Amino acid sequence: MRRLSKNRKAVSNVIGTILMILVVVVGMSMVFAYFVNFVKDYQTGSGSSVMELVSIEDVWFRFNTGGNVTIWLYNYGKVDVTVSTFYVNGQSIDFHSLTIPVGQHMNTTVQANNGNEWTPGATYDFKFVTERGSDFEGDYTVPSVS
Amino acid sequence: MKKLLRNRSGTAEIVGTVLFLVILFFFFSNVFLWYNQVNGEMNQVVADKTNSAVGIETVALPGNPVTTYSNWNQPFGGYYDFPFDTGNETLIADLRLSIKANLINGNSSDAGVVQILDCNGIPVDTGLRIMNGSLTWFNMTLPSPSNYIDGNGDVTIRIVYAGSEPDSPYLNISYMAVCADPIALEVTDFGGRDATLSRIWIVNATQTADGQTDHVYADMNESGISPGDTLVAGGSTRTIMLSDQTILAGDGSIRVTDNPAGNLTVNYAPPVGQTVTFRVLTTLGNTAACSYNFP
Repeated sequence: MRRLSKNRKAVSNVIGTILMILVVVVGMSMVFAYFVNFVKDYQTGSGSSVMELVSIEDVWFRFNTGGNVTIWLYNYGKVDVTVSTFYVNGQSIDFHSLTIPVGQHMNTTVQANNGNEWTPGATYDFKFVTERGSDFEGDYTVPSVS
Repeated sequence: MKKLLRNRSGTAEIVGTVLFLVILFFFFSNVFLWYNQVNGEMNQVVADKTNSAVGIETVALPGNPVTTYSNWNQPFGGYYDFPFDTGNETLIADLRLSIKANLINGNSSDAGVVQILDCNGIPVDTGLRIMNGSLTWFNMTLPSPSNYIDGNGDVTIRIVYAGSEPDSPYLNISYMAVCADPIALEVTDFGGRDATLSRIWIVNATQTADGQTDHVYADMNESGISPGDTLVAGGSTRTIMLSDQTILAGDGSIRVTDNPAGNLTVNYAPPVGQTVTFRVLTTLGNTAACSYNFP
């Protein structure tokens, strides 16, 4: 044993091999971690967009409020949905994101007509886009006022 | 070939590459299998939704007949008034009048003209004529019942003599009844898969300028409601009653009550003179709507 430990021949080869194995293990670990995270992000992120289903269940045009509208959304998909963007007739509206858990109904009131009152009989296109990129859209007509 | 197999140089690279490909294959197949499974599940959801489309309409449920007069026989001259207390003051879809009567000892020119008094006491001709001869059934449905039912739920039928011999015939009423048929909502599942009701939205078609109850909803998942009573079996219908008074739940929604027979009642009294839209929402996101003008 003492003879073996005193033998200095091929020491660099052993160290080199160990270093190589270390580098490979560390490198593969990094690749593995990246891949696991990538897959996880994909599955919880854009990959899950296919599981998002939202119904616009009610649109309430509010009069004398400077163009406010209260909208009820219902999440009947399989993942929680965060609505991040709201468009009226293709124009982006200032909107605080809204998270709707699975099977829940949520509502939001938005000033959606640039401070103008709603015009009875006019039709507006409302479109919601989620953080995962799904969109839900519908046309709604302002009712008459008594 | 033998020479190639004995050549050990590059074996590690081959083994490493193969392992790397195996690992890559493992991850990609994992993602693919997950995506395939998710797509399958969501396709099933969409298929279930498509196969459980619903419709909603207002219907007149058969009301209990108020039978006030049977085997009634009096000399016929002038007119007789027959009041009926329907017991229902509001939410009546239509009135049904059933009379089995005849004139006795009259002639062919004698007739009993059946009228109904409107809310102001003014008689309106129903078009029915009770004639001399054998007992005859007369049945008719009167739309716009609010024209005839007063605030106490009373309806008055007037039978006026029309003929040449005023005191000669007898008016013989074997049976006379009035039915006030209440308005109800009927949800129909057009598909083959069961639908579960989630909400019924009640929206005033003409919005009041400052109305806070122009848009209200009845939550079908309210506590106390048996889940089975919100289910509409594929191809069948479920009737939902309306109440004559509005009762709100703690969250401001319309209270829904469930009786032991499994009938749901939405405790919502529609505003007078409003056209109200009822919109049903199922747990699978299907919607349907109908409107009704409450006089």
